[in-house]
Amino acid sequence: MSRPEAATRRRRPFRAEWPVTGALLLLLLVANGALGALLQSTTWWWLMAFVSATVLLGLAGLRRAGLAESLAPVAGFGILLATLTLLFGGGTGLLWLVPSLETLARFGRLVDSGMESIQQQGTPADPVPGILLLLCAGAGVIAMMMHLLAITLRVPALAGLPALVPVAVPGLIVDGGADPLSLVLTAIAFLILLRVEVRVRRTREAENPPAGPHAPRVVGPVRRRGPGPLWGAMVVGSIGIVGALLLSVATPAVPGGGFAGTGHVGTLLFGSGVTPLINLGQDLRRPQSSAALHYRTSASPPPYLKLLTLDNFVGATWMARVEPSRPNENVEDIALPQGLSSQVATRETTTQIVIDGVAARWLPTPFAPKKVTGLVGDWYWDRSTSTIASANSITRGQQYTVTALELAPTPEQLRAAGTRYPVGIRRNLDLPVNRPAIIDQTARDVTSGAISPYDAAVALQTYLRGGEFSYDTDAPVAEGYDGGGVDVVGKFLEVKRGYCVHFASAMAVMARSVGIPARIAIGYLPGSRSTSYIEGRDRFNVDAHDLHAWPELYFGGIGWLAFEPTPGRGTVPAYTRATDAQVPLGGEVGGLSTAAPRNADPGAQNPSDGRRAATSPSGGSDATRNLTAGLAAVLIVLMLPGGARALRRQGRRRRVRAGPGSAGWAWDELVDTAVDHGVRVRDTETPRELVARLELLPGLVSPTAGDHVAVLRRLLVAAERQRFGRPGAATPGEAPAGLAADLDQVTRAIHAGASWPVRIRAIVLPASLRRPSRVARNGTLPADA
Amino acid sequence: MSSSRRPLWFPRLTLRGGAFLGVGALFLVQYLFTGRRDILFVACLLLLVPVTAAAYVAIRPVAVKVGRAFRPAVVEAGRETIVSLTVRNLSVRPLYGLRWRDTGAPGLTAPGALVLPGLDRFEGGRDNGADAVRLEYSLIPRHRGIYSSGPLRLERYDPFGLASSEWAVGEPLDLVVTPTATPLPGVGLTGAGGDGDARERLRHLNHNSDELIAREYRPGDPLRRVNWPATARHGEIMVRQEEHRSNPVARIVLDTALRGRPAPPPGQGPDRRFRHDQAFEVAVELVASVGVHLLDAGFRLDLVELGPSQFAARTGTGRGGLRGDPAVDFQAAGGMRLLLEGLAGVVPLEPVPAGGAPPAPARSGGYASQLPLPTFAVLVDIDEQDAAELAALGAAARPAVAFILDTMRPPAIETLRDAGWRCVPVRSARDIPAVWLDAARAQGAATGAASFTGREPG
Repeated sequence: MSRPEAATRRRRPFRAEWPVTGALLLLLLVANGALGALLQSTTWWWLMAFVSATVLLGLAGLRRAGLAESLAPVAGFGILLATLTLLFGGGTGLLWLVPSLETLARFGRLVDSGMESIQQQGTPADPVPGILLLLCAGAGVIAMMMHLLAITLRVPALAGLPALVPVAVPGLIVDGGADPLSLVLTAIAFLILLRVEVRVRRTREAENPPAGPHAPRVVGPVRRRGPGPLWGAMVVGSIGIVGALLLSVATPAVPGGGFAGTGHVGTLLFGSGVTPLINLGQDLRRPQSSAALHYRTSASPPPYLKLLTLDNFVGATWMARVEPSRPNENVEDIALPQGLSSQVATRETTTQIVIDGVAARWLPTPFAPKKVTGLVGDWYWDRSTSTIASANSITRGQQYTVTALELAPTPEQLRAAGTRYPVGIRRNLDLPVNRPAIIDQTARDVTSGAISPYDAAVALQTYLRGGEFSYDTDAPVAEGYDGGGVDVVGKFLEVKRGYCVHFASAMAVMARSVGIPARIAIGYLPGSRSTSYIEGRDRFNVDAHDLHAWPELYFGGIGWLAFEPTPGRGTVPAYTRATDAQVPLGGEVGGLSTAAPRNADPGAQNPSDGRRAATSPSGGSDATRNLTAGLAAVLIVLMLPGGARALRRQGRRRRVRAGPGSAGWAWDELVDTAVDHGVRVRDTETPRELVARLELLPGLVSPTAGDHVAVLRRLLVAAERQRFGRPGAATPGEAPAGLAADLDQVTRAIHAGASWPVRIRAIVLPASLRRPSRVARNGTLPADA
Repeated sequence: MSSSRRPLWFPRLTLRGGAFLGVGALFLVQYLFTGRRDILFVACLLLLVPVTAAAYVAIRPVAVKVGRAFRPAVVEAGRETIVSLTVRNLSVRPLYGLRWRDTGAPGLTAPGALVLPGLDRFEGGRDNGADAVRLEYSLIPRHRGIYSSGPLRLERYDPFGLASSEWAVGEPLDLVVTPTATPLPGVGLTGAGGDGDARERLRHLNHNSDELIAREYRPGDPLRRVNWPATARHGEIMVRQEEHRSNPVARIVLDTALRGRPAPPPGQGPDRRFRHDQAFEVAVELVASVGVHLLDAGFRLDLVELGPSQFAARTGTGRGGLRGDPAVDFQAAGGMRLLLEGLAGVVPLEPVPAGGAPPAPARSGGYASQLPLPTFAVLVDIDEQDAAELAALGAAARPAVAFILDTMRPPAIETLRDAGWRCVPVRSARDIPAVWLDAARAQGAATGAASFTGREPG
């Protein structure tokens, strides 16, 4: 960083970019404010502001002092490191600024703790020092990128992209993303940046008019230092912002990808969480099955732990119904589930659950929860789905006790259940209109002998558990039917191979088609009994491979009841046993051996099989991601030739400006442009012959503006002088800047005169890329120069 | 001279505006996949702002008054003239964010788009307030002609640099570019070849009167002009009156018809046309050089066009200088400028297919009746009839010099040579001084011969 060298290299002193720097700083500060949706208090904002300001102002100051532009990233990194050392080094750095090894180790520890606490905390998070360090480092890096884009590369419009990072992050974590106010403020700051930059550029251009004896002059008036066209900026800006706000609010949610479905996926904070049906496979796909939770229970058999309910068809796919959270519904006192009458025998069980690895907004609880104690954070229950969720907390690390009701209806009660359902339940009969006919057909065939909804439900369960169907993890992937939509169910009923998602979805859809309200529950199987035996109760370990989906059917006077159509997984509920079994409640203890459920599941036995199985339900989102990635790849590939050509053009223009050999470079660029636009250029042709042909191009002939032909001839003369003149002789009268302007004018004219297919081809697939570059040509033809 | 115009073209987006739309579209696609409202907001913003900006620049009119002037107003080809533009805001709102670019006929290279300073709201008064700005740029036209300069194009940008629209304001103004008059060696028709007395002879030939008439003294007359003999005769102080002598007259014939040129056959026309155009340019330059030289030397100049008169189109009959149109004459002081301006606009007349009106009889009688004038014919390509008429005119010319451009065909040259014309070939504009020396030598010889032999037979 030798100052004199830098000083001699630059042509004229760098100007301070204070107005642009100020606008950048404003934009970054406002954008940082959008993180307020995620974090408590405001300390973090002040720290980020300090770091941002130090980096941006420090870089601007160094630029003013004459620092070479190429060193700006290094300098920015240095400033950032010093600032972080000052703030987070705890005095370990030399002079509190220069980081020592100890400082770096401290940073490492802070980063680790920060990452951990990001994973563990719900929103709004408490900004512990680790998180603060990450935030400040991020702000500093963004500030450096903004400086690089806006000031070094002079594309301030692109500087808005890094500033978008803090604005976009809340959308990944919290439903709805950053709040509209901070979005609008960021938009205003961005427009201010653009306005300031345009003004600075114009002022500079006006103050440095083109020099030379023939250059145009501007005489008077005295340039005023007013705010400029404030009115116009405000009109354009406010129409844009208000319009964007209205549009973004008024646009209906995108079906399939919108808020109703994957919006809830975003509620996870990077953790190994549970997501709805469509993404269930992603959670199963983890290479090693991590511990999800463990519990002790008084219930026997150990209960299914339900997370959430999918009861709503959006398009052809199951989705969770979005319910507004009701803060006054305390989990300490949960109402009875829907439809349960006092005639049904119930048994109260208690389960102590300790969450290990699940990070989700839904709480795993046995059905039907009556009371939950010991939770941290705000949790609300929903009566219609019997699930417990939180708007701002996640499950990780929770320890709680659930008191639940176990239902034990008798077959007589179930058979007596009426078919008149309340309005709130009737919506669970909706089916997509365009469903495969095989669903209704199969459902009718299977339930033809049933005398009641209950018998029909048992018949469906028996049919699916029967020998015709096999639990197969490969088939859905191989046959290309993924997820749980009605199309998939139709395919599944043909192929008769699939796993829990398919069985659950098929049973629910068929039940709906024969008039029984049905929905899908997602949660965990009871897990495996461990050897530890404490307080008289077995401990059950549940891991990620115990994720499961099962149907719930509604019976009047009894409520929602779980069924188990998946062969080889879980246990069949007692109330669906053969009607004459008369098995007392809890008599099925023997049916649940310690590892029976999982051992019976071939998919879970073999981790690789399980992983393969896991890919199938997530196929839908994979497809969209693949589509996006494919589109992006195609776009990038399409842009490659044009980009390479643009790079070459930029390089030549720089050389034309810088000299020596300007005319030669300008000529090369001219020839390449001609080639791009379909002019055949022969190697044996002299420049003059080529120009004679170029003059006939439509863009140069039309007398719309300026005298393109004269400019073209100037270029020709300059090129001839360079090529045929004495080597090293200074070409008189041709300023490189003038040459560059001439070149621009002619190439623009050629481009403007071409037809639009030629123009598109010239941009996307420039033919000149097939020509060797000048260096190569000169290498083979040294006499040419 | 004024006023607001509709935009020349639909508003265009700048690179930045286009990038906004592109990135906005990408965000919109991302919204379709993720369904996130904040991304939708960003997408809408990026899409809406450029569109609004385009509407802004297209809708808001540019109300300005543009004045245009050249300094000097008439310029010789290859010399510099300064185009001065006065732009004044007529709107009640200030005008910002403009770039200006002057346009003109091909051949006038106007500067590229430059920043126009912000103009205040219209204030009234003269054109020197904060609501007006003067723009100047220099122009070096390469070829003679009458060029239209303007209109001024104003490009309006929105405050964020996203869109622009172009407006043409002001009326175009013609710039007269005169042909280059090469300084010729020698003074007047003499000076070459040591013919020191040629001019005197010429004066006699032309009946120059240099009688001295005395008049009475008026206050202010210099003493050295007192005519002492006359004073003695009249008894009061008499002075020599201004030397009253008629200017010597010379005649220049310019071939503007190019009648010898065949009507271009479809196919190989352009090349021949191009040669003729080149030759005509040389001819015009030669006429300018000779004319300026003669006017400088004090001659009165008669310019005869072979085609219908382009110098004094209204007075002519449309038949051509040899067939009845009066010659245009130029006097020393103002004539030089008139001559050059006239030559700036002279074009070779389009060849008319033969047939139709029979050629009018040559009215060379008017010239023949006069005393012989020194005559210089600059000929590009004449037909036989023109050659015959010129041959007749040659009798009334002393000397008769024909500058023959290389497009002339030999028969016509032969005709002229037989009629006593001295034919001097001219190839390019660079030859003009040499050709003039050649011609002057010939003329010296011719006048010398005339002085020896007395009157040449007519």
